Amino acid sequence: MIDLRPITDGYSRQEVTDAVYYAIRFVKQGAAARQAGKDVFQDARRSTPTPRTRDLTMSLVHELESALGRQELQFQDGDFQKSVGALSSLTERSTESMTDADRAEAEALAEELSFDPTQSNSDALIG
Amino acid sequence: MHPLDQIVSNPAGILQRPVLYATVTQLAFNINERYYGGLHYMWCTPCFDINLRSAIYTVPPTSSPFQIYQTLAQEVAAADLHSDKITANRIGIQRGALKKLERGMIDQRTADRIQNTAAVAPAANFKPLLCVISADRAQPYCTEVDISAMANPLSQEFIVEDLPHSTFDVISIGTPQ
Repeated sequence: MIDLRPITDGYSRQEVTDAVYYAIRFVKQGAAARQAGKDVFQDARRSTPTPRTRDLTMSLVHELESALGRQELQFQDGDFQKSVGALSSLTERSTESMTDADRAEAEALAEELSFDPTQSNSDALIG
Repeated sequence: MHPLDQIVSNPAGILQRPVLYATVTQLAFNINERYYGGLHYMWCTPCFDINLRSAIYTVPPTSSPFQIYQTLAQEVAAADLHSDKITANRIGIQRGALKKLERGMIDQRTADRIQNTAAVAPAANFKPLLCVISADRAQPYCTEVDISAMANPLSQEFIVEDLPHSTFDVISIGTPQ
C-alpha cells in the first residue's frame, strides 16, 4: 500500500477530504480528459477548492505517480484501484477512531437509509 | 438551421434542452433528503449515454449517466466492498457533510454521524438512482464544466448544487443483465 499520510501532515480534515476527492477525480478522469483540458478542480460555486487544497491534491497525485512509476498524464487502468485505495485510506482515520457505539449508530443509520426512494412513501425521509 | 449549427452558434443553448440526467447513489440521495433539506449536489449532462452515431448528442463514457448507473448496479449486485465507484461515493458523501458543516447547515454531531455512516454502509446502500432534471428549473443552480477548445465543445456537463428535489424526478431503471 502506498503511504500518503506524511504528505497530509499540517492539513485539516476538511482539506485532506477535499484533496482526496479531487485526486480521485484526477485519477478517474484519466489522461484523455486531462489532455482535453478538463479542469479537475472545477466545482460548484460554493465548493471551489482553496489554494492549499489544490497544492495538497497535486502533491498527492505526484506522490502516486512517483510510487507507481508513472509520468504525468500516464496513469493506466490498473493504477486506478491502487491509487483509490491509497487515497481513501487517508479518510479512514475517522473510521479508525470510531467507538463501538459510533459504529453501531452508523450501521443503524445506514440500515435506516437503505430504502429505495422511488418505491417508498416520501414521509419516511423525514427524520 | 441544422441542430449542430444552432448549438455551435449558441453553446449555452444546450440548456434549452428540456432534460438533464444524473446518476446518484441511494445513500447520497437519502442523506440529502433527510439532512440537507432536500437539496442535492450532482454532476449532470443533457446526454443520457454515449451515442457514437451523433455528433451533437453524446457524452464521454466516464460522464455517461447510463454507464455510471450500470457500473454501480453491477458493483452493488456483486456486493463489491472494494468497488472504486463506491469508495469514491463514500468520500463524496463525507466531503459533502464537511461542506454542510462549514456552511452551518448541520452541526458537528450530525456531520460525524453522516461521515461514519458513509464509512460503514454496506454496498447495498449505494444502489444507483437516475435523476431526470428539468433543465429550465435547474439553470439557476448550474455551473457548466469548462472544457478547452481541444475537447468536443458539444459535450457538456454541469455541476448543480443545492438543487431542490422539486426540480427533478428520481427513478430506478432496473438492474442490467
